[in-house]
Amino acid sequence: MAESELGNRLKALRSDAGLTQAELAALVGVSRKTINTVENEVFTPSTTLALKLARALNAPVETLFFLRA
Amino acid sequence: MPPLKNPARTRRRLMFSLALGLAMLMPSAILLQTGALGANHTTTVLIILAVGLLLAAPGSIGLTVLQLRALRDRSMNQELNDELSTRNSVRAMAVGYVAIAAAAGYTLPLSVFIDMPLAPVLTGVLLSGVLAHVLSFAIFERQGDDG
Repeated sequence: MAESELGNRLKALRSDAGLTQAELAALVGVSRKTINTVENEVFTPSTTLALKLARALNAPVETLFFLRA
Repeated sequence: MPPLKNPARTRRRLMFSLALGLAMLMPSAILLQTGALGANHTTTVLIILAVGLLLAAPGSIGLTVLQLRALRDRSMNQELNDELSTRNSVRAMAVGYVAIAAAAGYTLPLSVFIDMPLAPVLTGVLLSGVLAHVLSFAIFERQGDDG
C-alpha cells in the first residue's frame, strides 16, 4: 500500500545495476527490509537515504524517485 | 562471537520471546502477589510463571547482548538502527504509551468498585506498556522481512 504519492524506480534500476536488495542495503548502510519496503512504496525514505540510493545506483535522484500526478 | 547473518531478524525474534514471556509472567506474578489464588491453582500459575521467565529472560539478555555488539560493530549498528527501525521504534513507543493510558484508564474507575492493591496494579499498568511496545515493535519489524 502506498504511503504517499511518491513513486520510485528502485527495483528496475537495482536490477539494471545487477545488485540484490542485500547488496544495495550494504552499500547505503541500511537493512535489506528497508530496501524492500522502499521498493514496495511502503516506506518513504529520507532525503539522505534517497540521495545515497541514487549515488549507489549511479542515477539522478529525480530518475529514481518521482511524484505521481 | 560469530557474525550474525541477519541481526534485525534476531532482534525481532528476541522481542517476540520477551513479549510472550512478559504476557505469561505479568498476569501470573500479579495473581501470586495479590494472593487471590486457591491452593489448587497456585502450582499451575507457578508453572506459567516459570515458563514466562524462561522466555523473557533469554529475550532480555539477548537484546542487551545484541545492543552491546552493535555498539562495537558499525555495520550491525547501521542495520539495527536504520531509518525504518527508528520509525518502527517511535510507532511502537506510541503504542506503548496508549497501552499504559488505557490500562490506567480502566483500572482507575474499577478501583472505585473493587478493592485493588496498589503494587500489583502499578506493576501491571507499567508492564502492559512494555509488553505493547515490545510486541508492536516486533510486529512492525516483520514488514519487508521474509523470515
